[in-house]
Amino acid sequence: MRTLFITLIFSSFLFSFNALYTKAFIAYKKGQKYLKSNPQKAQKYFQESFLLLNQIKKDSAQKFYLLGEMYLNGWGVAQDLEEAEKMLKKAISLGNKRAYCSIAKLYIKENKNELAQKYLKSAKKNSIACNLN
Amino acid sequence: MKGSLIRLIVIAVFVPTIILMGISGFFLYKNYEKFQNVKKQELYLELTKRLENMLVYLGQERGVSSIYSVSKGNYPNSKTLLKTKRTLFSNAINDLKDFVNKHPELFNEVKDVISYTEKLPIIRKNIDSFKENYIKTYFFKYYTVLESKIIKAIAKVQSHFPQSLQKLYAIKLPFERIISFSGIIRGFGSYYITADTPLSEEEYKNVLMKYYHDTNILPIQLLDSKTQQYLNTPEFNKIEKDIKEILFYIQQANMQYYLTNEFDGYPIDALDYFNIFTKRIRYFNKVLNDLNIKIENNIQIISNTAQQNLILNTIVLGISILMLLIGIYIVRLIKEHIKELSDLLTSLAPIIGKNVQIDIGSTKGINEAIKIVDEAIKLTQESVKKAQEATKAKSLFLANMSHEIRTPLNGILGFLEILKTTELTPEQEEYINTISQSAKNLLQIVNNILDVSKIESNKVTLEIIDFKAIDEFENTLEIFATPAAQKNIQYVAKISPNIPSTLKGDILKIKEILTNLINNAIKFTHENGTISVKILLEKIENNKASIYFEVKDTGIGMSEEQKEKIFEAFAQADESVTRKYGGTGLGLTIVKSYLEMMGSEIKVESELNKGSKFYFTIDFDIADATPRYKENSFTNTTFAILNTLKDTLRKEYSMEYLSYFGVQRIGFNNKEELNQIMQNENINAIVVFVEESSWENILSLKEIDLPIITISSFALKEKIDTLNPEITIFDPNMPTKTFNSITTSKEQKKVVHKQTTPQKEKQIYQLKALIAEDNPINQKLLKTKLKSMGIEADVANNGLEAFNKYSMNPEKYDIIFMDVQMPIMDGVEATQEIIEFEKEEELPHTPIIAVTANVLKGDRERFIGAGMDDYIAKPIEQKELERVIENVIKNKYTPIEDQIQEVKPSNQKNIVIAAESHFLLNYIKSIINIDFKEATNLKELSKQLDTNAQNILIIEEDFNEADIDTLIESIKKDFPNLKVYVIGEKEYKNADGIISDLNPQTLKQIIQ
Repeated sequence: MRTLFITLIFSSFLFSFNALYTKAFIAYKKGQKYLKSNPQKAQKYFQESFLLLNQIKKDSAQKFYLLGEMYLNGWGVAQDLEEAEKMLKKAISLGNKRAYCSIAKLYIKENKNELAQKYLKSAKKNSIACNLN
Repeated sequence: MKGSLIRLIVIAVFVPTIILMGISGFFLYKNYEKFQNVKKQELYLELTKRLENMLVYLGQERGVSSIYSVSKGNYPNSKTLLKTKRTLFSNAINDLKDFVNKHPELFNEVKDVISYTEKLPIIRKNIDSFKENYIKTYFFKYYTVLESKIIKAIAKVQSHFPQSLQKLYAIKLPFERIISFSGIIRGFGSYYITADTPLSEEEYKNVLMKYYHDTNILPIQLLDSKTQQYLNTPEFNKIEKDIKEILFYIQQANMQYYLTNEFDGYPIDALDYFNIFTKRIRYFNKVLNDLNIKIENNIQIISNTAQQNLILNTIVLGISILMLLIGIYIVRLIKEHIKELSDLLTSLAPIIGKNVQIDIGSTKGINEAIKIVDEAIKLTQESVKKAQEATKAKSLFLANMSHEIRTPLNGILGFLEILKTTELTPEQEEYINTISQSAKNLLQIVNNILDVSKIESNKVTLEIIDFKAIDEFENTLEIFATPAAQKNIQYVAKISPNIPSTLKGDILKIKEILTNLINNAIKFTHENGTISVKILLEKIENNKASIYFEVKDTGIGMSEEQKEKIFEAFAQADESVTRKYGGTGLGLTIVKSYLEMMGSEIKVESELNKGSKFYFTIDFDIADATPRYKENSFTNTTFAILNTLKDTLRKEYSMEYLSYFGVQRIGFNNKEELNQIMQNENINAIVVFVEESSWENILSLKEIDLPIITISSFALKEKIDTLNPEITIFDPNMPTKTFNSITTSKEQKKVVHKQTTPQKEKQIYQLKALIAEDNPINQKLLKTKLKSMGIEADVANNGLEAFNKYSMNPEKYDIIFMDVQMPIMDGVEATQEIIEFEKEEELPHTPIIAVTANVLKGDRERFIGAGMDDYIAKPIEQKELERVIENVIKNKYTPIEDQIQEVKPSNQKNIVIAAESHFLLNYIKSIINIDFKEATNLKELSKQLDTNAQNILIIEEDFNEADIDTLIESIKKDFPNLKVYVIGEKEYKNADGIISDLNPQTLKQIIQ
């Protein structure tokens, strides 16, 4: 299983589709990979991803989700819960369902537990399992 | 149907035409069907286009609805874009609906589709409410279902297309499918990528896996090379590669979720994902477009071809119908002609005695027709032959008859003349005159008939001789003085005194013409009428004198119709004329013919009961141009003219004559006036017009010592005798009479000129004659004539008798009259015998005179050659007789020894008659009783001639169409002693004589 997982992760880096988001996604994933082992490298990738994402002119649900996560976790950018909330809310409005989990996480951090519960419920409605760690 | 001919024609004309019609009709039907089909296919094409249009916009609406729904309309521009796409799709649907409304027959094809599109507004509304999961509720359940319905409808419509088109559609279908599938994946995927949620395993299997297809499924090889290029470009290849990759990574993201229950999102932005599939679809659409263009072209070609074929076919059919009509017309024409011809031949059938209905449409009919025509031709040829023979027979008959008739007539006339010279009572004299006149008339009639027949057989020629014009004319006119006077007709003549003395022409014929016309005038003019004859010199040009002749009367006249008939032979004005006036009706025919021969033309003007005028002009060559009478030759003469109570032509013409001669004329009314005039003028004579003046007045003039010249009709002769004038002029007054009266008056002799027929002094000769003549009438005639001249004559009935009589008493006769044609021994032979006898006995020669009815060319030489001394023609004229006798007395006939031709009577005579006509040969056989040989062709002719005999050949002019001169020349080479006589008209240089008419005398003369 683990090997399969690693293989999968590895192969996603080989996606050569020449679109900004795809590149940003790959950089983000790389950042996630080196989070534990090499936080400096991870940050470097996250920063790359952050830059790429900001280059995307068009509004995109996925863009806003990734940006939200980055602001939320301080990946590649200084942690900014306000900005994170803005991004995630945009993502949600554009139809991104994973953002429900992220924004719930944020509200938990901000101790806005009712809001968090609301969004957790929405996530559940959409069959999204949130991992709150 | 009539006979085989018509049947054949009908078959020949109609069968091909009908076949052509049938074939073209059949093809027309087929082509029309095809044409209709094509039209229908064009409709289907249009339908298909609209359905395909719907597909395109359906896909777009479906796809955009995806993003719209997932983002609840928040995605930038998704609202407006969706609105646009919905409008487009709605328009496409309406387009289809409109089209189907226009062509209701197509409704069935798209019934399903249209009813399904009715749901669309509701669906849209629901989508707008964002309640349901778009993908789960609408994407597949509505849009994709509708899509498949449309595709099904397209497939159904496509089945109507012709093979070629279906092929193209078969190529199109995979492309359409792949477009549809790509659209599904696009819409489906972009929804979940936007939602950033994984697919359920089912969805993953039934959608992504199901609907992604490679270009492998496409029949790219079936496309043409250009189109193939589209799908071979590096750009397209990249797109395909990228799509494969994208789907792989999506697959991975989902696999991860299925295995670890963790989902990390899709590595591609939804929009990027959407766009790349759109790009892919665009490529396939291009191919579709090209294929569509091909299809359209294909249909266009098919349509055009069908149209052309239809037009061609229609033209061909039209032509074949036209041909049919023409054929019908032709057949009808032919039928008509056949019928006409059949009718003609049927009418011909009776000619050969059959009475059948002929139809040359049938074989039997044609055979019969041929038979009929053949026989008709034969019949005609026979008829022609018979007609020709009939003409020949007629000529022979006429020749024969005229001779037979004339001989006794001449006898009658001859003896009448003799009788006239004896002492007769006035009554007897009258009777004799009547008989004489009748005989003369009869003779005239016979001569006329002969003339006419001669004219008809073209045997008459003009004999141009010099003649003394005025004398001859005056003589002719004078003949009718008495007959005119008998009817108390004023008979006057106006003759130009200055006509040239001598002219050249056929005076005999002119005299005959004048005689004829004046005779008619007298005949048809009643008592007290007027006949005026004009003979005027019109002009002299190129040594030709143009003389105008006119005979005008105040007789019964003629109507227009009568005028037309009179010149026809035997025609008279009408039947009553023959009864009342007699005559044969030939005279005017002869006149007309003679004038035509002279290059002139008889003209007539006439009015019923008013009178007639016959006139013509002849141009004569001038022999002596001196005018007969000089003008103004008596200018020093003066006549006193007793004025008349009325003016007549007689007076008018007489005055004109006097005026021409230059005589001075002074008119007076009575004796007293005359006396007065005589005191001043030297009057030579008194001119009195008896009928126009008072008789007492005239009588009173007797007292005056001047010669009186009376001018009147001969009817007043007795009355005038009582006056006993010095000079009498009786109708018609003419230049000579006037001239004589002037000259006589100047001599002042009171001599009475009595116009009586002068009696010739009888000469008395003391001679003895021998007459050899077989005809008793002619014997008697000659004997009597000689007796009146004091000549005694003995008679012999034939040559032998003559010879015997002569030899018994040779010195008795001073002259022998030898008829040439006699039985037993003819004149020629007898003459020869006599001459021989004279030679042997050394006797002096007695002159022998040949007496012959017709003188042929060559006869004279023959007679002289035979030893005759002279010849006279029958009927014997007194003058001729006297001439010959005078010659005898003057001893003019000396024996001519050397001119005796050697006629060899020693050898047998071989007479050969060469004629093609059996009729002619039979005729000759009947009239001569000597044997002769016949030859009807050249071969026989050469056989019949005898080298040892003396040959006499009588040959027809047109014998075997040979050239007579050449023929005779060659025959004479072989038979030098041959004598050849040609029956005909022309002179042949090698012939010994010509027989121009076949009367027995002539033939007998020749043969003997």
